[in-house]
Amino acid sequence: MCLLVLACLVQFTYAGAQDAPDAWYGRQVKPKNMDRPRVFPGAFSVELPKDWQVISGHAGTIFSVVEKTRQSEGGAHVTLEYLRLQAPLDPELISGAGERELKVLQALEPGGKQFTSQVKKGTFGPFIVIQYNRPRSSAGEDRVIQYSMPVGTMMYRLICVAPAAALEKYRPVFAHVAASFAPVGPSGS
Amino acid sequence: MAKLLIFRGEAMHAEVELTDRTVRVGRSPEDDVVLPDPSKGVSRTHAEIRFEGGRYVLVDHQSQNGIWVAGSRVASVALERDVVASVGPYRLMMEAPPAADPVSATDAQTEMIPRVEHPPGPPPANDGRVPKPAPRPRVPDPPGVRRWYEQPRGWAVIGAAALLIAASAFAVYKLARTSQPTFDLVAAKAMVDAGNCQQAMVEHIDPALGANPNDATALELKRTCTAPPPTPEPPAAPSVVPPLPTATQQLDEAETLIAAKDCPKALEKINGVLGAEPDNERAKGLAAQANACIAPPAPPRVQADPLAVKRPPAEGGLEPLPKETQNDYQKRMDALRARYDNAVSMLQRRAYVQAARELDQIRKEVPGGYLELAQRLDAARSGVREEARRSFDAARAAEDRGDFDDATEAYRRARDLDPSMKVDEPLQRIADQKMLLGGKKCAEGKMEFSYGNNAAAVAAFQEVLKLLPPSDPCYATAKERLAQLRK
Repeated sequence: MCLLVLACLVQFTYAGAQDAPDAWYGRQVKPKNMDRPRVFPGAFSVELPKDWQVISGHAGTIFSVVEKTRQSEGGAHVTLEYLRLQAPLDPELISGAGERELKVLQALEPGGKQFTSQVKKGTFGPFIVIQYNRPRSSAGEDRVIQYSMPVGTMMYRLICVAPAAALEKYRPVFAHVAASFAPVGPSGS
Repeated sequence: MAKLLIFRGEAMHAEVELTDRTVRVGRSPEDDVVLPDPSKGVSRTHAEIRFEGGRYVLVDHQSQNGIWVAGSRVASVALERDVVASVGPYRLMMEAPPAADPVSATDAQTEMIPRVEHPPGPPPANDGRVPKPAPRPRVPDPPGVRRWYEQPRGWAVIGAAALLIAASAFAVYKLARTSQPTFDLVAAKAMVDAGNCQQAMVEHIDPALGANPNDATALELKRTCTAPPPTPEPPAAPSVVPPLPTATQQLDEAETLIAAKDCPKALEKINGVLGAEPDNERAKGLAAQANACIAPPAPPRVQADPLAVKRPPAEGGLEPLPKETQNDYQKRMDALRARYDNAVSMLQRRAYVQAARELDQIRKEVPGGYLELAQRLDAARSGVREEARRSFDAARAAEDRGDFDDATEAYRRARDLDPSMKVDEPLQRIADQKMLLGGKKCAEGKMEFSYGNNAAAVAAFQEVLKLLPPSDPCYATAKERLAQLRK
């Protein structure tokens, strides 16, 4: 009995010591709906949703993955963009960079609303999460979650878009994709 | 009719019939009797012949050389038969009157010979000779009367009279020639001066010496005329320019002069050498010797000046210095008064700081008071305090609008003007704000630089340089980045 109580206390203490789980950044324990990691040697690796259609990008877009649905609209999609920096962004300046990214988005999305910006800490360093709603092309709203992740002289922007009404369905997927993003060396390690 | 005979030398120059009319005699063509004389022994109007008391008198007309009679200059002379008057080179004498002619005698008493009028222009062609008078109008004969030339006795009388006249004239002439000296030494001198020695000797000098061999004037004139002409000077030999003394010779002379204590003259010579040879060592040495031996000028004599008399401070007076003269005391008072007036002028121009500084300096120099110094100094200090307050207010306004540099300067100025002004806290506040803003600008600059927005980066880094002290690490970063971006 005593051992049981002790075990419960230890478990409780450990759980309290852990950071509260982030709803928008965290890997799933055993994801069945995710593919194996895609590795871009010398750049990064990322795990993308299974059965989503991958579309190669161009210019500042690396790729897009789009959920396959029966309706022409109503699914979610993820896009990875990049911006080459003139100099690596000092981690201390991440908060200023968050403000800057937010301003840029507000300028690009005049119909957007409910903008929020947060600085989070990932495995490769601090990054910025910006969320906002924007009107869909047909009806309703999309929820946009943008992960701005500076890595060296690159600023990667992982942009996850889902119908606002079905956001909870996609949140774990987006959190896993974001958390799976990791810089890799030239050998892919 | 009386006739005047005029001779020049042995030659008859003119015969002039005289009436009771005054006749002017002279060199000028305007005269009645013209006596040409290039040597100007005859004046323009030399004399007049007047008819006075039944006789003719030659009167000097203030001429230069005068009228000479028997070796003496006379102011006037009655022209008698045996009188010879000299006028320059001319001799004047009366001719014996002819036998009485009733008609002529009557005419002579009543009629004048008209004066010869010369037309304007060049002188007459007869060279001054007296022209003949105009013919007299003939008196008509009464009816029944025979003329003298119609009677044989008349011709006889005429012949006898003519012979008598001729004989008398000759006698008179000879007498005059022998008994009266005809020389005129003044005229002779004029001739000699004119270079006409031969004529002067013949006409005047020799006769004068004949009359008086010891006549000093005549002897002198003769000596002048007989002296051999001056021999022309032999042509000058080509001039030989003496060689200029050499520098050594000049320095030798200078050395001698220094030994003789004539140092100024020696110095002149030395300077002459040094002008040509500035590096002549001997000349330099001698110049030093000469300068040393030239005695310094005596100091100016100092006028005794009375000692200063103190004036009260209220009247601009000062405390006299020991043994200070009145003159120096007055100068010192004038100088201080000028400074005081200048300070008052600054005060009136609201230049309180400068006025207070000057007045305070004066107060230190005149601690016992001076004019209205105390009141002026109070006014100046009050003005300074007011100025400090205005500066503080301006600093606060600048701080509020974020102009930290102006604010800092104004706070410091306020404190300089009025040390009691409390500006440390505002200055610290500004420093903190600058540091904070500088940090932000530094981050902004770095971030914009990373994103490649170089214009914004430059602006931010420039602000960093203004806001942060050089000791701040970001100051160096900003400087480095700016240099990088300018490249």
